[in-house]
Amino acid sequence: MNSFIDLLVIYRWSLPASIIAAGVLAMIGAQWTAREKSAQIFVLGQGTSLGIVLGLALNILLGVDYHILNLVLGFSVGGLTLLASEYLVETKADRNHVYFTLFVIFLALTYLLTSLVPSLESHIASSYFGDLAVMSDGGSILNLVIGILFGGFLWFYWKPLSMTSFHLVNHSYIQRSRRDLFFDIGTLVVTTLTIQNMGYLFTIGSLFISTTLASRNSRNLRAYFNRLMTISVVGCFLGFLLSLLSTNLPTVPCVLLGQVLVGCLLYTKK
Amino acid sequence: MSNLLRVTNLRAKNPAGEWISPQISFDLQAGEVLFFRGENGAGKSTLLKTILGLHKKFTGEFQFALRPEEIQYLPQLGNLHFHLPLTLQDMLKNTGTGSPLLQGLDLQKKWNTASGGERQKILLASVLEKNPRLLILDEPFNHVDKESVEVIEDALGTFLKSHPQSSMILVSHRAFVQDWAHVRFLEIR
Repeated sequence: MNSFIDLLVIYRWSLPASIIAAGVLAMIGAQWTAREKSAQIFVLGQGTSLGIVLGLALNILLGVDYHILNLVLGFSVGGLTLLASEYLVETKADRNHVYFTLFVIFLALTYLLTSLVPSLESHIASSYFGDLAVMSDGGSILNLVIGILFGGFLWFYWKPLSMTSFHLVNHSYIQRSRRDLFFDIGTLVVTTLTIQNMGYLFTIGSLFISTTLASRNSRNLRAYFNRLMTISVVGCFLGFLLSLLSTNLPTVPCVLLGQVLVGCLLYTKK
Repeated sequence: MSNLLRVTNLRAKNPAGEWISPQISFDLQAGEVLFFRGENGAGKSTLLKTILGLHKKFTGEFQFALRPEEIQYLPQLGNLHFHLPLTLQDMLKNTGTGSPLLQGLDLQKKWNTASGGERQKILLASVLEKNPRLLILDEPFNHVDKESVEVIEDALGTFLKSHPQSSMILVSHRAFVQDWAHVRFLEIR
């Protein structure tokens, strides 16, 4: 028991940072899915990932260790992807194939970078699959603070944001507010930070698993929100604890499977 | 009467640059109802969307003497299945409006299971509760049962009477049955 508590002390920042990130990503994923933009955010994640890998490559080539470079490049490429998809692709009626083309191009560029800078390979693995257990305290605290702030915003404006999502898909959205701009920028910041610190798999999984499993049988928006939070937060916590049972159990798959498990348990509950 | 909207030589194009509507010009005064009439495919809805900034390819110009939040718009009712479980209650800011549109509605019903009439009534109630200066409606009676059509017509008439400075632009195939003041027709052909 004592050794287990010692382990929890080691993860005193990474555990709450992961749990908060899972909850915030679930809220973001629910709104983007409601806006019928799942493919867009999927590509945004890949664009951000490419930027981060580009930063890693530059760090290696220049012989420096500036993590901020990865974040800035991740944010920039992600931002460009978001702008391009919003203004060039979203106006097209048939757009999913364009997103998948962009995804493949980003993936190919990432692979090309790995070939040009072979020492990137281990970084690529951690960038894609992530490991919550080895997150630095600094990265965890940054994720925690940003997650709490943006999570608070999403919680407070949950109904207005949901109505915006409704009007967007109903083609009746005629008044863009600063809140919607903040939502887009917050999405970009949170996904960049989580991809950088927790990996692409954790980010994409947390964006979509909860909303996929929570959308059935929720009585109303509030009940749906509660279900979303239960799946993401409790699932992440259980998965993280499960991964501590053995060093052979990687954190990210356990956390995602934890979310799937909790989601399945709630799936048939009214 | 003050001018709320001036439209000058407005004509919509598709992305290929081809014309998809006739050219129109009009002024809309406070308290006026402007009816867009024309055949299917004449470009009535596209012109509405152009004025609202939802359709970006056009020539000509338009200018509102209104703040954006004073304008409300209801597009044609589609068969939208929404990912989030919004109830009819969730669509309203205030539930105690006492609007005749809400009479008999189960506000706990989810949007996805509501009928066309219930959907249109709740959407109209949600825009009317904001007391718009300009209400833009695109085929508000489509996909709506006969009883709901009468309720919606009555609600619009009551709104115009109680808000004499508010205006409305309406696209509808339905014959005009209400005795509304200051109605003008614009042929789109």
